[in-house]
Amino acid sequence: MDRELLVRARAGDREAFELIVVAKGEPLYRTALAILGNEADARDATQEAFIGAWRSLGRLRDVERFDAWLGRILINECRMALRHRRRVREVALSDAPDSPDSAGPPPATDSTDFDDAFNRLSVDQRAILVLHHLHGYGVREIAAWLGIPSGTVKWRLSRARKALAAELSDS
Amino acid sequence: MNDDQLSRELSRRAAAADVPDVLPAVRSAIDTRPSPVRASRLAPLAGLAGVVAALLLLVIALPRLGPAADGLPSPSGGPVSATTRSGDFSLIITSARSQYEADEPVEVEASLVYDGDQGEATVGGANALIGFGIEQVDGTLRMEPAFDASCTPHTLSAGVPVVEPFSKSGGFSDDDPDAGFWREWFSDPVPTLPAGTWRVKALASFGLDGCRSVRTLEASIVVHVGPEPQRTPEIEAPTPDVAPTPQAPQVISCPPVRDSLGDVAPTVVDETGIVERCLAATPVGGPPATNPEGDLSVLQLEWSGSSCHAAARLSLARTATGYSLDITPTGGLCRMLNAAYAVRLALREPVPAAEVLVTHGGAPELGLAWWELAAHERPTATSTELDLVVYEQACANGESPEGRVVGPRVDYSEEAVTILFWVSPLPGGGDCPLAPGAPVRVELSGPLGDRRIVDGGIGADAVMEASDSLLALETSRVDEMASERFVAMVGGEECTSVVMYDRDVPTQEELEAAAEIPELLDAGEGFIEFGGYVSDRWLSAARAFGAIEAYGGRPKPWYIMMPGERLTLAQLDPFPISGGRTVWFAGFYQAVLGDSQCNDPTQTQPPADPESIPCPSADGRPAEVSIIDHSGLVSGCDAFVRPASPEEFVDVTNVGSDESTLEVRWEIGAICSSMPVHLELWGPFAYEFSGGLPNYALQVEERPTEGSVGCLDVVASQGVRLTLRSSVPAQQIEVFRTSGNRGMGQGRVAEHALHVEIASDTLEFEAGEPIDISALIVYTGPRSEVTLTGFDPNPAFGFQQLDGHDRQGPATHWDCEALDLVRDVALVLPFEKHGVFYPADLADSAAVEAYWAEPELRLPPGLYRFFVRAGGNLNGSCRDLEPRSIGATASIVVTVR
Repeated sequence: MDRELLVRARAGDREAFELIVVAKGEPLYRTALAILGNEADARDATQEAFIGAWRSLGRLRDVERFDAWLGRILINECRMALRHRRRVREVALSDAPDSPDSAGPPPATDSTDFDDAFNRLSVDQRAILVLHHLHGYGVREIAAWLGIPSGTVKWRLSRARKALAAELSDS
Repeated sequence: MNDDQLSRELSRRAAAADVPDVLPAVRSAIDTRPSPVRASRLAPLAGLAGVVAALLLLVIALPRLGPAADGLPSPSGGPVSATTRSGDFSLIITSARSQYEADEPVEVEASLVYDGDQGEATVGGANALIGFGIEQVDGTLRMEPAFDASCTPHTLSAGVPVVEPFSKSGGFSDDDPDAGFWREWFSDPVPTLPAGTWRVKALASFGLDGCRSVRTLEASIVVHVGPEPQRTPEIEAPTPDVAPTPQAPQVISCPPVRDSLGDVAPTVVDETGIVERCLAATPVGGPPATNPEGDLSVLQLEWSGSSCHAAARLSLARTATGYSLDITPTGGLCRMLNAAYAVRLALREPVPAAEVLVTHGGAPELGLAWWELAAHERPTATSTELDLVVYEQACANGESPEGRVVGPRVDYSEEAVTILFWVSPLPGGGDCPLAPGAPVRVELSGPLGDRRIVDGGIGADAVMEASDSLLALETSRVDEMASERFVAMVGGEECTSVVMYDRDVPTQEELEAAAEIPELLDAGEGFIEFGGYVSDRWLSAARAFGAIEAYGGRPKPWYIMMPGERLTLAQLDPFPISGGRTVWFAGFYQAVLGDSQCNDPTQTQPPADPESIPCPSADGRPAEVSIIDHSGLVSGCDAFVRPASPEEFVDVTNVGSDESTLEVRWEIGAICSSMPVHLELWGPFAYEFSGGLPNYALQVEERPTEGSVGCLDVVASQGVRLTLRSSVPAQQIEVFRTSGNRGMGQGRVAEHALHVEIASDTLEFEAGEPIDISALIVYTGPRSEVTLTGFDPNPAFGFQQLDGHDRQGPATHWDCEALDLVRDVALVLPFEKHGVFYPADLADSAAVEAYWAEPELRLPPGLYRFFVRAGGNLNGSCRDLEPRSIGATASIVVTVR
């Protein structure tokens, strides 16, 4: 990302920020879609991440870390999206018996066993798998995205893979 | 599924839809939200605290234009908001309006913001961190928010708010008189409120360490639903130039100040007639009186002190040159820790803060002091004067307060003589190197008698017993601990193990000895053992002594103390408390002069095979107690049952001064019969570094049979008296009680009880298999909720290999941690690695690294005692734990095959 653009945006230049939105929109949306598996939620999470970034950009001390910082906001928004969706479904289906899938998202268009299994993982587990296996990020980059130590990344990655394998075998 | 397959599936998933154009929505949103620059201008201070503070200032300065930041309805029906703060977290609740129509959805949302120094904070809590409750101001309806018990981890990026819109949650029972109303209200997911005036509350409750150390923030606003209510005159700001002149001082209540001992409310005694109302405020550590944002119609007042200073009386009066404002504590319990308090006064006429002379209890701007007995002082019952050394609590560039000490104020009671000093602070404050004290002689009104001497400056906990042979309490405690350790080392030479204790002040001799540290270390006269929470900073510190002096980027003052042959290093830790203030806490780490020879703690050697020893009852009844001794220590055993209740749930003592005999007692629930019990003794453990673990472990395993207990519902003692082959102090034996796969411990203080259990589904694991063990902690007693404060980690886990040397002892890094418990509600926590891991070969750094490489606990084959310790002080303080602390340890024995 162009450092000058970021500095301008941080200084309140809305046009500069809009250029950032254009440049980062697709990768951010793809990441959110892979994590959430739902177009509407991914779009909302992406929008809210940008809005949150604009609101907080003045406090970003190091523009070199913008990508990881924005990524963390996005993953927070993904968490929020999933929680809101879960709550809405619980209200709407309050009389329905609980089922293991009741908290999960509506099926994506091309729902597969993989999607069903992946959707049963926590957002953090989904995020770490997406960052590593979709974007190819290394442990250090993931640590920066998630703001956790590298050792924890390795452990969480291992746990996420095990959890996915377990879900796949169950399904 | 392999990596390639996983990548392909995720790529398919990520490409499942076209990329939408989010720019219009983002553009629209940011058009209505402040830009980063505006936020920065509002926040000259670093971090969001500044933003919050600045916003608060702005809205109070412009009460008719901005949202009402005190949570009260805006006079215009416009935005209303309230903010609360705890540590590095802020909770902000806002409503777009304070006036809604009856069927109109309320536009309320709450934001939780972390603004600490770390890039982010991971907290544990319910699936939704923020819940909403409502309370009918003009009626009786009330609903508290509900949370699930999921203990979900949430990561809060610094400065990035987690926003929750208003949602309905809560619970009611069918016999609730308002059940019909609530059923109907919850059935409609649209966030509406019935007509009336409502207090809408946002509540965020989360743990800072998993789901432990729970922090709760609550912020509320008031909204009107339905026809606009007639406002009370108090809400309407009067015209500044028509300020009434009261006939008598006006007493105005301030919002309660949250304190760990409860909510207490400061009061304003206004002799000027210009105070319109008193508002809650967040202390920012500024001067005692300020005009926030330069607004002369608002005065922010800040003061600090112990909790007895929270309920202050703020007396405002006119003087010839301006105003005087006196802040006087009105009583309440005192604790050691200082806290900062603040309120804001909304004024009917402008008052420049510079014209307000702030005094404290009638004395000008005095700082608090603490004192200790002078080194030569030995108070006796006939003492009528005391030589003390007074120290300044504030930072003073290392200067003695001599010449600046004010006081004393001496309060007498039947139980105590409380002495309080103040110190006139240095102009402009200063840095915080350790400062010497000022000698002061205090004359008492009469002989001391058997009363305690209490330092009023640091609270009732700073107690020194008055007796003929007393040294300062802390010094005696050090000596007592040291003698225990030396007695234990029967076969060893000059040898000590870890001696750790806590206090927050050094003696004068210790200060003077500090300069000797480098020489002693350079001369190689001793070695140093570090305990600490295992994190990068501590591991690196342990590897290189020099590094610890600057860990965390902070300079570390050190000093030593040398009672007898010991050399103890003390590390002073800055200890942040509320309001941005800091006190200094000391962690002590042991070093040893001379060679360490702790390898032979007793004169016995463990036998090749464990010995089964019979334990007949003295009264000739069939023996129900058996013991297997792996240590070779026990030569004889006699069982007993007594009608009297033992003092402890399970306990071991020497019989009188005879260290060749041990008495082990445990509590049972009947006296007409004993309970079948199996004892097993392991040790001695020859540790070069013990990690605080004992030399022997004694398991008391209940093996109840049907009909063996319960014939009388009376608590009684059962036990054994063990004859030993060599002398062993009881303190060297860790006795623990188990029943099946549960280990149980109980601590009691007065009517308070803490029950601690450690349990596992299985007591046998395969080598390399993750060991899954949990702890359960329950408080019972008179309080519905209790906060136990102690040095972290709390609870603390550890293990000790019974047939080898691997072990992990919990260590502390001397942060004061709170363990929050609800009466009769079990807190369940999984085993967590922390502390110091000692492999059999202490030099085997690879084993240490392998141990810490993953959070799961895996161990090589062996027999292990796992334990958990929990507890703390009941009075909210981390100082002087013994008098009011409650705690318990529970252990189980696990085999790894």
